[in-house]
Amino acid sequence: MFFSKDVLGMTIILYIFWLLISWSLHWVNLLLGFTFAFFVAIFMAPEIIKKEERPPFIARGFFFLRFVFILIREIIKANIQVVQIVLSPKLNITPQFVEVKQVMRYPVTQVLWGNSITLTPGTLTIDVDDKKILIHFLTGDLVSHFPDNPVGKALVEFEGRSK
Amino acid sequence: MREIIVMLFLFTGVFFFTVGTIGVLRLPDVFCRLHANTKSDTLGVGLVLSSLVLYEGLSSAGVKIVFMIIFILITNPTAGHIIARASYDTIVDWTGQLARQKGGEE
Repeated sequence: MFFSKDVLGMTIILYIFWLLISWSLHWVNLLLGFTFAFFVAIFMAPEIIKKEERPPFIARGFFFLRFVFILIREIIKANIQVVQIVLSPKLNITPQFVEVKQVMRYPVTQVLWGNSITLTPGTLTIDVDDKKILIHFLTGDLVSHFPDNPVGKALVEFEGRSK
Repeated sequence: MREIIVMLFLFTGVFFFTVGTIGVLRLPDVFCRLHANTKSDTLGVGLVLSSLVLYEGLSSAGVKIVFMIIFILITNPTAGHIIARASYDTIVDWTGQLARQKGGEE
């Protein structure tokens, strides 16, 4: 349809992006940005936003912010661990591949979870699909601690179901 | 005062970059090297660009740098994931086995 909720939302997002990037409040700029945002949204919204793929949790902003904060904390922890391993005189690493079960249900959270695994301490995503994830562990003692990863718990809460 | 915080962020970021580079040189095979690279590059770029945002303040350049931080946070682990999967399918690792066969055993 010519005008729908999708088109409106995409117009608003694109317009805010345009305003932040161009960083000027001249009236030509405002008008031009709105025109471009609106026409791009009309043509592209039916292609990009598919009704059947839209996850039901997209409005849960608080849980997403919480996930981002936990992710940043884990990135800092991961870097401290990398510093400890790399700068110690003897490298005490026992690398191994382990397959674990996929716990995320939707494509969006699967992508977020795959990227988060790479950024959390001692793990690296190699392959992801609907059933399982193949992970490379840097040290073997991390394998047993993997299921209580705080980032994974935050993402499951973001999906809106308790584990 | 602001200069001190900016310098602190900048040098912490450069330190993590250095450790990541040393890790790439020291660790034995491609997967272990990717561990050092993806993690420390993400935080290193994040800290260096954050220091630039603090130095620049709220201006045209500062907002663009914030967008750069967000995009690098998304793309850096994705690139590491692609390199890891391609290596897993093709490269013979340091024990002389194809990584895929070794992964099947464990």
